[in-house]
Amino acid sequence: MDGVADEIYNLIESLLPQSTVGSGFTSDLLSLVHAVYAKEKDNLSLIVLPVLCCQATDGDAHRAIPVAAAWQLLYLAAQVLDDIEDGETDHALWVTLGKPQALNIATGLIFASQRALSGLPRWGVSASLTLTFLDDFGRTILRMCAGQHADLAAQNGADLPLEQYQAIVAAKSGDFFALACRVGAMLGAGDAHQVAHYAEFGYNLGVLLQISDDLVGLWESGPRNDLAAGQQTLPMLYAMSVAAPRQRAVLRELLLQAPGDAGAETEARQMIIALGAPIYLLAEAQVHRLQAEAAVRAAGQFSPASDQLLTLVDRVMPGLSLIHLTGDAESDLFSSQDIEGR
Amino acid sequence: MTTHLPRIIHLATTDADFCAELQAAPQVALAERGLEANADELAALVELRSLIAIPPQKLATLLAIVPTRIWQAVAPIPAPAA
Repeated sequence: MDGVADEIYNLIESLLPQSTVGSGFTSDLLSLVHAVYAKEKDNLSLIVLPVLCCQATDGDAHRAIPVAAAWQLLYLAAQVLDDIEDGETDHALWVTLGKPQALNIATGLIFASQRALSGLPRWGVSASLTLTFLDDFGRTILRMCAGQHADLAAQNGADLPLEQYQAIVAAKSGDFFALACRVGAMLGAGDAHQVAHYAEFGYNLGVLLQISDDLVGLWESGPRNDLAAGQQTLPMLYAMSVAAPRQRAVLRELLLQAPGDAGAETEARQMIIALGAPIYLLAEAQVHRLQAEAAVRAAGQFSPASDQLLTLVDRVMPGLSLIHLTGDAESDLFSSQDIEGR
Repeated sequence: MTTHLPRIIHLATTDADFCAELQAAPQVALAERGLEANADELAALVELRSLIAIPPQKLATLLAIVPTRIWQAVAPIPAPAA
């Protein structure tokens, strides 16, 4: 893993400008890249998704390095922009640099991503496939922008329908991860059906990641707490969709007060949980996990790389591991020592 | 995605009889109440049946604990062959 990730990050560094005029720009870009690299090494290995999908379809993993770099650069750009647009402060680049420079960094990351793709012929990829990838990245970015636009508009209004939120998640997260797996598989020796199956895998992995974030954001303390941040995410929208009219009115009021009122935040959380949001999120997550697994199996080739893709799915939402607990799930976990210390 | 899954989960959370029926015979329980689930949703409900029976607040407490525990237990992904 380290070897592949190192190659990807070495390529990313080589794509950044060397000009002394822009030394501050380059060093700020590198700081961001290095910070994410350090985090990735101890976290999910999502950066290698295109490489794994290339390997799973009998491709030369080396040729997928620039695609993985392009995808990672785009991911970083989206993260910087998202933080600004959502007013996110936790580890946000704009808090350190200010919004104008953070926007400039994001712009640089997008064009570095384009450079990674346009250099693909030097890695043995045909000019025709390179153009296809450039177009695929462009189309996906536009769909993500449309999803983000709808999300931002919805966060300013009330009662976002659950189905609309799911469509936004599909565009922002599902399509982005589908891109990584699709282009990786296209570099392999698989046919169009295999490529479609790996894209389907990526889509479900992306949605699963968002569901996991939404679940954690329900009780996370600090700036990542979605209730305190006034974010409308899956638990809140589920609760609003199933609550009786009176409950809904109460919950709506609590959600409005939650950003500045710890009591309202706690009450809103309890209400959302009592309406069944945790088990609903697990059910939705399990559906996408099953679909992701089915997609890899439908691709028909089993290899260490496809096994690693399945491992990745298991790691995304650890809460689903509760399914495998035997006996009394409550006593299994509640009796452990580290809970006593909480 | 289905529009019935939220209703199914909410009913299972608030109606003990339905919750018990859902665990025993999910397809029958859904059909009796005019609710539908596709194959993946049905499979998910079956796999989650032991968790559906846990009171929501207790399940939330479990979930708040689990992430760190599982992350620590998972070995890193080995290097793909170049």
